[in-house]
Parts: sequence; structure tokens; C-alpha cells
Amino acid sequence: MYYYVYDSFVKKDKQAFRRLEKVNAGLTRFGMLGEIAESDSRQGVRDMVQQGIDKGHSTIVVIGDNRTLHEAANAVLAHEHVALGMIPVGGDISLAHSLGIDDLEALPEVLSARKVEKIDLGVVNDQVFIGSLDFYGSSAILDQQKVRLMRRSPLVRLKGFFSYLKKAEARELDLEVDSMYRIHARTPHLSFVNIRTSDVAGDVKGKQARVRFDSNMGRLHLVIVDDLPRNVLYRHSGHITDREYERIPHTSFFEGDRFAISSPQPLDLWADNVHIGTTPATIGIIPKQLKMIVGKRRLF
Amino acid sequence: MNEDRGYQNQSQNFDTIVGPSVSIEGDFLSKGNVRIEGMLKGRLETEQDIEVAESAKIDANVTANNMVIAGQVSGDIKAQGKITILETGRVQGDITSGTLAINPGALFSGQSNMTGGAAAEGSDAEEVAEGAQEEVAVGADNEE
Repeated sequence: MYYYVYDSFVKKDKQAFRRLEKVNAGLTRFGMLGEIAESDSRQGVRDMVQQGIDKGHSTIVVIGDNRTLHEAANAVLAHEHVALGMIPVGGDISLAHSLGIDDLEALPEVLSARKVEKIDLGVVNDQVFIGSLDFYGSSAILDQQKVRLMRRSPLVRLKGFFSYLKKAEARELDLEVDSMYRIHARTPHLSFVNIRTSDVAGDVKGKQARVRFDSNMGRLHLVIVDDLPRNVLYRHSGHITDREYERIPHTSFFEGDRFAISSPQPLDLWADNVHIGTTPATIGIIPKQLKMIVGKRRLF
Repeated sequence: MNEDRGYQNQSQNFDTIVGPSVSIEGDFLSKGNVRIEGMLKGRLETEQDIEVAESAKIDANVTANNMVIAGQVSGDIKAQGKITILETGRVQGDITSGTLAINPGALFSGQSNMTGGAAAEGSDAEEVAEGAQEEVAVGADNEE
């Protein structure tokens, strides 16, 4: 029997709830009933997933966005027998696209088939991440992401643009890679990518870099965006939020297993868009660790 | 902004790209294709190919399969295949390679040792200036 965990925001978000209704009918058709739990302000997604595991469930499906999946992955980390599924609703659901589970009409069949792929997990300090660990040199990039997600009016977008120009700032960073070499960079955005959420591999148009960028190969990709002029950076801010790094001029790409990141001032780090602390930090990878229900159209 | 990054091999995909504002220090060891547009100091080794862009400055001993140099390299270079120094390339150090091609305008100061052709062994090349030989392709018998 499946154990479904709703993130607390889902029932408050009308758009998310409408999307969910599409899936529910399919789940009923496939006879995929199960126990339902819902997180709240007292008990988060991690707590609810842990409760499901304690009850003996081995298939847990979370209903929410990338952050929801991030919390669930951290809860099931120590339980290798547990398979994790996702019904993607809410703001940023790009991980679902990567996992091939973003087509809500096909999703009940995908969940029913329960095709499980073991995927790599990134590790930062004592937490894991599925998609990426990011440093944003400016909260304006995150603001920009929110504007895009919420499809705000042109006026709000314009306001966002001026806010971006005012706030966008590159920061000095030092990294040690695999205890072999050190990188010094000044960057407005840096990302350790585990499972990438976009695929521009075959799309030559607008590509500035030709780089091999495969997910789930047991290595992390380190992406460092160049210290570009602010107006150029703003033009590419959508490529940052969509993780289409090949389209951003002068971007650097590295691979590695172990990284140490430090900076003159503490800088905020975001794992799957969840704030997890500041620099300094150590980052690594656990290959083939998380059992994840995936669809045929996954990107890896 | 659709800036041409100046790829020499238009069909090649890279495993590592070091951008122009990034500097690296230490032992950079790779198994894949590497493109350097920034600065590197220490050691650079890969089992495949290296492109050194015009903006790059490398102060390291370098080992690769093939190498195309449009930027600056200070250090000894070893390549099993071909080393090409383009017109903007500046190399200071000894070169050991299967074949060597130096374009007009390139600068090369050091000794070259061609493993691909007996006639080339131990030949010296000093600052091949503008208007010099179109291509110093010693050991050309083995060129592709």
C-alpha cells in the first residue's frame, strides 16, 4: 500500500489543488488507494515521511514541489528499502521533469508501474540534495525566479528588473576540488548539479558552450557563471533559473566527487531551493543511493 | 550577447571548461576533453584533448593526447598526437609530440622533439615570427 504525504501548501494553493484533481481520478482508476498524511506547521514533510516509514510503508509518494521532494529524500536516506515517488504540484517542479514524472495524465500509470531507478544524491554537510546546491550572488536572482513562476504582470517584471540591476553582485569564492586543485572565482552564481533539470544537449541554437553534462553518473558537475556585466547577467537570469547554463557566455564547467567551498564572508547556500546554511561547506556525492519512481521520459 | 567562444574543433564536446575569469592552482588531472579560457598554474594532464583559448594563461607542464594552443603556455608540453600552435599562440617550453604545427605569427621558444618522425628529433625552434614558415610540421609523415 502506498503512503501519500501532502505538503501543507498544496491544499491552500488553488492552482496546485486543481492539478492534483487530475491525478486523483487516475489513481482511483488504477486502484492505488493508500494511507494519506499531511504536513503542517508542527510536523513537516520529513516528520510525516518518517512516520510512514515507521509504520512499515516501503513506497512513499509526496505531493508537492522540489522542496517537498528534498525534505522527503532527507527522511528516507537511511532507509534503502524505501522507494520514493512524487506527484508534482506547486511552484518549482523542475525535478519532476528531470525524473520523467511531470505529465500528470500519465502519472497514475507511472506510479502504478513503480519503475524504480537508483539515483545519486549530493551531500552538503549533513544534508542531501537531489537536484543542485546553489549559491546566488544576489537574492534578485531568486526574486526573478519567483516572478517567472508566478507569471506576474509586466509592471512587476519591470520592477524586478530594476531590483535585479541594483542587487546583482558577484562574490569571491574559493573551492578545493578532489583535494587536487583549487579554484578561485568571482561569480554571481555557482551551482553543484547532481540531477540536472533542463536538457539543452541537442539544442545548438543559442548555445555558448559545448559540454558533456550527464546526470546520475556518480559525479557532481560544478558550474560557475562568469562575472558578467549586470545587464548581460539580467538577460541570462532566465537561463540561470532554468539551468540552461550552456546558453550563458563564458560559463565554467567542472566535475568532481568532493568539494570544499569557502568565501571571505559567509554566503547563503540553497539545496533544491531550500536554504541549508552558509559557506564554508563540504560537498560530496553518494552514488546510486535513493530509490526513486521514474517515468520513461526522464532526462538520464 | 552571442559571443563566439572560438572553439577550434567545432564538433568536440568538453568535460571541463575553465572560463576566462576563473583561476586554478594545483594538479588538474582529467580523463576528458578540456578547454582553458582562464588561468592555470601547476600541472595539467588529460587522456584526451586540450584547447587553450586566446584568453588563457597556463603556467604548467601539460600532458594531453592532442592540443590546440591559441593562448599562452609556459611549461613543457607532451602530446601523443598533434600539437597545433595557432597564430595567437605563445609557447615557452619544450614540446614532445607526434607532430607539431606552428601557424604564421605564433611564438614558440624551446626545443621540440617529434616522436612521430625520425628527422624531427631534437630539432630546435626559436620564436617563429610573423611571416615565417606557414607550418612547421616536423614529422609530417604522421599527420592526419
